[in-house]
Amino acid sequence: MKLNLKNKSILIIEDSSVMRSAIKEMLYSLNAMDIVECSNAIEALILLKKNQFDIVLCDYNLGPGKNGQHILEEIRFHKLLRFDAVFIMVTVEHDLSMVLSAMENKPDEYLTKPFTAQQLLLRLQRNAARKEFLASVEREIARENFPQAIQNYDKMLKYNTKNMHLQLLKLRAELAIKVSDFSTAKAIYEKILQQRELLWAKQGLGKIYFYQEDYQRASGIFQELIEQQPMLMEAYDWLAKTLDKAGDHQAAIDILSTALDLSPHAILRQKSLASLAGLNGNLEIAEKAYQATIKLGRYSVHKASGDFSGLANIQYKNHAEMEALKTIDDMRQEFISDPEAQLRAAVVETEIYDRLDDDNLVRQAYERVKHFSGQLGNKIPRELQLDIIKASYINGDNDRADALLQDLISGNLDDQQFIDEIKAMHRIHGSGSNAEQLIEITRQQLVEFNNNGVALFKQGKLNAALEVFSQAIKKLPNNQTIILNMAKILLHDIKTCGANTEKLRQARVYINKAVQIGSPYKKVDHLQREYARLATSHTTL
Amino acid sequence: MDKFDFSAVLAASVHDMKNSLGGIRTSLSHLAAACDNSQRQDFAFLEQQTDRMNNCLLQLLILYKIDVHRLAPDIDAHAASDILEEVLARQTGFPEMKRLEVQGECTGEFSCYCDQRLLCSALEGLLNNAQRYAKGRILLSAAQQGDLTTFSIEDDGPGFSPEQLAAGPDRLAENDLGNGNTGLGMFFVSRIAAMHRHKGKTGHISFGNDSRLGGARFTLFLP
Repeated sequence: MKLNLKNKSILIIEDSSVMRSAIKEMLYSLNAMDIVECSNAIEALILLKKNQFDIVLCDYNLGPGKNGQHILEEIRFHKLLRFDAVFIMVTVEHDLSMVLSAMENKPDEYLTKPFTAQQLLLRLQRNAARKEFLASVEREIARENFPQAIQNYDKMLKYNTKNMHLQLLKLRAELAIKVSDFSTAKAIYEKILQQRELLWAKQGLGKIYFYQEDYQRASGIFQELIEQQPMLMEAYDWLAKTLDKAGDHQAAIDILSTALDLSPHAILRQKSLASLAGLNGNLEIAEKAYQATIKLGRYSVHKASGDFSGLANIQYKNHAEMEALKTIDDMRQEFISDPEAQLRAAVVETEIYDRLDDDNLVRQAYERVKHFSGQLGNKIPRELQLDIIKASYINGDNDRADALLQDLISGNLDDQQFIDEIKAMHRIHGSGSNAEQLIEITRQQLVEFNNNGVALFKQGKLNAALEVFSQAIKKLPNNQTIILNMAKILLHDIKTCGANTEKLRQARVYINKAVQIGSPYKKVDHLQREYARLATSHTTL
Repeated sequence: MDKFDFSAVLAASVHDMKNSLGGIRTSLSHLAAACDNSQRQDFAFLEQQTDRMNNCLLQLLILYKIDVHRLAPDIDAHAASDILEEVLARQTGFPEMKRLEVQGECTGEFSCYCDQRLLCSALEGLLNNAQRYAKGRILLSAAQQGDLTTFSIEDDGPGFSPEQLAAGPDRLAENDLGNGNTGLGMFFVSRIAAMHRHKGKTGHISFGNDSRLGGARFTLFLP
């Protein structure tokens, strides 16, 4: 395929002017006309926000400040490039392992310096061909129209048996995982593994076992992978996730620590280690990991106020109150006029000043808690909600605390681990009210909703049943039983009254939600198959 | 003084040298672009020598990583024609200057299972080597042989001496040492080949004077 760069708009991000003009010369020799260049990440991000580029050539090491990986993270996070644009990371050999071990946000291609114009052309050609070949599915994926994407894949798989076949299967399996169609993904991986032990296929199979809650098999596979390829960092992350789910928290912490010894720059891995170690009472590891997270987050899109308050919390638990207050100060500096950061700061301060017996400061901090939680409304993460309730109890504001507690229980009734956290907090700080009783009342409410809805459904009153469950979802937004029943009724409606795109989309949303809130695999799988069947017959009509 | 890990010191220095060399290489192509015709030959020679050094340092680094178990091959299916194209694309102005014709030949459309990065470095090393001995032509080819994939490099140079042929691939490295060649390239290629395994079969190399162009031939077999 002959690639013409004439109509392509190209961005070069490179701090060395010599290198910049060398790359420009190469591109001109390939007929490029529309080239924009810049020397640092700040300029690059401004350009990327203003323009749609077809090709981005980005140097990994851009001197002090953000590096190429940070830029790529922001591009993916804020969707600054179209699905058919090409991002090429340029690195020196030394940084290559860093680029390759990135947990997510991988570039489309990478080039190691020095490279020739011919090599650059090859990469661009190959990617243009690849993107063109995959355009029909990538476009649908970008629109989140997964049934159509799946159908397009299956069509391509039927006709392409040559070079791209394995690539296609890999992407097809990944898409199957995305829509929680584990049996299809598993079949693909197993078939590939029969022919050749490819690590990505093996890792895919491990993920399937993980999603199917077969933690023993999953951890076996991930352990083998690590032995075979010690630099396969993703396998460590999956192994840690698996061990954690299986209840072996300490082993999960150990695995993440090992992975971080090998590749210490992965901010998301540091973050998981920090929160895991914190929950497990492993304060020393948690503190170190939070500190690393904060340091790595400096230029990252993953920088978060929660890491600062997390660190402050650990320091508080370690009885280092002054250090905790210092961390809170740092957070305020880093997140000026960010209400979530202000809220986090105030919550931690309530606890610290309470321990320091300064009633006046406790009251002031609590006033800030109320102010900023009002400002954030329903956008407060649940761990932070729990901390707010704690702060309310500390201030003797029991009515408010109880009301918030009930909401939190309603939203998380299925998550036994979190309910246990709620109970644990309540045992220490809750006064007067009875958490067990609140939980019981909420459970009864749920049973009532559910019985009503199911009864209506059985009488054939579909719309009335859907109405009951919509009401229930407003009250208990993350409840598995209700979400699953909602999805079930929607699917039944499609089956009996016919499908349309909107109905399918709704059913999809609830099935995804069911997966996201951790519904048991067996229950989701059943709906999944039903959905796939209905969606396929709809699109083939 | 405490005991220290010499290979780690060496690896760090090699990294450093490689970075400097990258800088030199970039400046060189800049100067070359601006120079007049009479100097072209000198620049092409300089470029080719820096590329050789670069390839050599890269091989050292990879061997070091293999040695400390930090590198296992990243095997996936790659189109054989992509591999050939990539290796040819890495060539600079030198073959042109020596009036060498380097050709790629891929019989059919097929994929092979390999670590693309390692395989390309290995083939690039072999190609650099062939350039030193070839008189006019080099042929880089890929083919399927039973359930093996082969990559061959053939030239029209003088070929191997009878002693070299008798020594076999394992001893070739040693034999070459006397001729001012460290044998690193050969050692590297056979290590990379051996890292490719499948169902009891291991990748390997062979060499001889049965080049279709009349000189030497190297073949890399991958399962």
